[in-house]
Amino acid sequence: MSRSVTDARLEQLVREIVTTYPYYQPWNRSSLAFSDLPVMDKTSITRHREQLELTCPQDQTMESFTSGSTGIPFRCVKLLQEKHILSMAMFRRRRQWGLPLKHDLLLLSNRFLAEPHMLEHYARRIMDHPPDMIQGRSSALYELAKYFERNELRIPDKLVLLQNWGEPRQPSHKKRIEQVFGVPFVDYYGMEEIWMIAFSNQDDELEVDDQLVHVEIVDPETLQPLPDGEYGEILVTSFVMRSLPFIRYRTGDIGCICRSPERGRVTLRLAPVRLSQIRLPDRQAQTAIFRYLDKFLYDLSLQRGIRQFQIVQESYTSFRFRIAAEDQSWEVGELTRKFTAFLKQYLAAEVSVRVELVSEIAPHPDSGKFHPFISLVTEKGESLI
Amino acid sequence: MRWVNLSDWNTETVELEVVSILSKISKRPVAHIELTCTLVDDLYVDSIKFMELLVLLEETFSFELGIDDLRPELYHTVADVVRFVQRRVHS
Repeated sequence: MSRSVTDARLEQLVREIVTTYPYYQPWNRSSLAFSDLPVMDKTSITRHREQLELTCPQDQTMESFTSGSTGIPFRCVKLLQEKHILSMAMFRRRRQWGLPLKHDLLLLSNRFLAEPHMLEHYARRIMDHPPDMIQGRSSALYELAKYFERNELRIPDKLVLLQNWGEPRQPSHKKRIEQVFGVPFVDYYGMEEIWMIAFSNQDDELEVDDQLVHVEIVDPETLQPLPDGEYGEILVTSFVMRSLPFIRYRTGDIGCICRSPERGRVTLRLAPVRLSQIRLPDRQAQTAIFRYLDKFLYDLSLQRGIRQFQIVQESYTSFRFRIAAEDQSWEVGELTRKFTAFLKQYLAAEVSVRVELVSEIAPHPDSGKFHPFISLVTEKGESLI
Repeated sequence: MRWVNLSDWNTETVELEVVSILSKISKRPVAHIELTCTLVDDLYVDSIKFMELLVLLEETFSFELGIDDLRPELYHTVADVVRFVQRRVHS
């Protein structure tokens, strides 16, 4: 979609929302631009929910909840019509990867890695009732691939597609999963509130679905727009959601956008960290600083069979950098020095860093999502260790 | 499945067949399905039923749907589905 078409759609959306939702009425003036609208998040929507949520017949809406793994569980509502449009948009993307209209889809449980019997259960399910597509967390599909390989199980001929969901797709995961299953492992970026934002295209770029959403990148501190190609927080505006509008909505994710006007597409690169807080004695700093490590972490992920990494803040001044790698024999001195220098520079504080090589990093027990940053420091500064 | 020669499809038979398919999918009597009924709000055709509908349209009318045909906005009412099929079988 061209820039001018997008601008026209945003202009129309602005006119509609300022006259529909009481919350946006103060912005109902003639010279209003889309970027004048306030940036919203879960907290602000919850606080003003009665001014934002349309009253819809109960039998024409569905309700769901976000996992709460980011700290704030959130009630989502969708009209059946909205759900229908969003579902079909997702199917169109899968169809481009060869998924037939009539298909069996297997969804791996969020608790896939939490229950030891799950691998056997799902492997048996796949053998007995071969699916056309399997959707699951990248880490879960990776374990499933290893299980199939270890047990020399036959991959069903019917399988055409694997899809990531809910966590960053690691390059090393993708390579191994595709080697074992012999079909594309595509990426998906979305959220429970608005569903799909972007999906892998045939060039394996995460392409924004501009029929559904408009994406902006802003500085997480100032909320000012950043130029294309620069990493910042992802804001998303849904063109579909009307039961509860999501306009300039903070995703908490870090990424950058690239435009390709000649191909009419906008693609998204996601940094492997979310926006959350590093607690310091006198202030908090956002983990968005880790976006400056994007090249470093990406290069790292391509080396030595690294599958995952996780940064754990153990106290105000001590951090643990956990790396799950196949090769656990490497010297981490240089890595420790680089990471310590980085944190000192961006936090402007004395810190100590310990690099730990591990075989696995467990996902969050409830959501099944893998979190690249966690803080074990409470609001009062106590360590939860 | 009822096999019909492609040239046998006319405005009336297409409409009858589409209504019959929608009756089967929505589990409602044919008499309750009017051209003005909306698929989602009146017939409760959700995304799974919608896929079933598309599969049955492909099988019954022997055409193949492209990516751009998979937009629910094209099929708001029963009349929209009938019009879409008529265009395809006569193209």
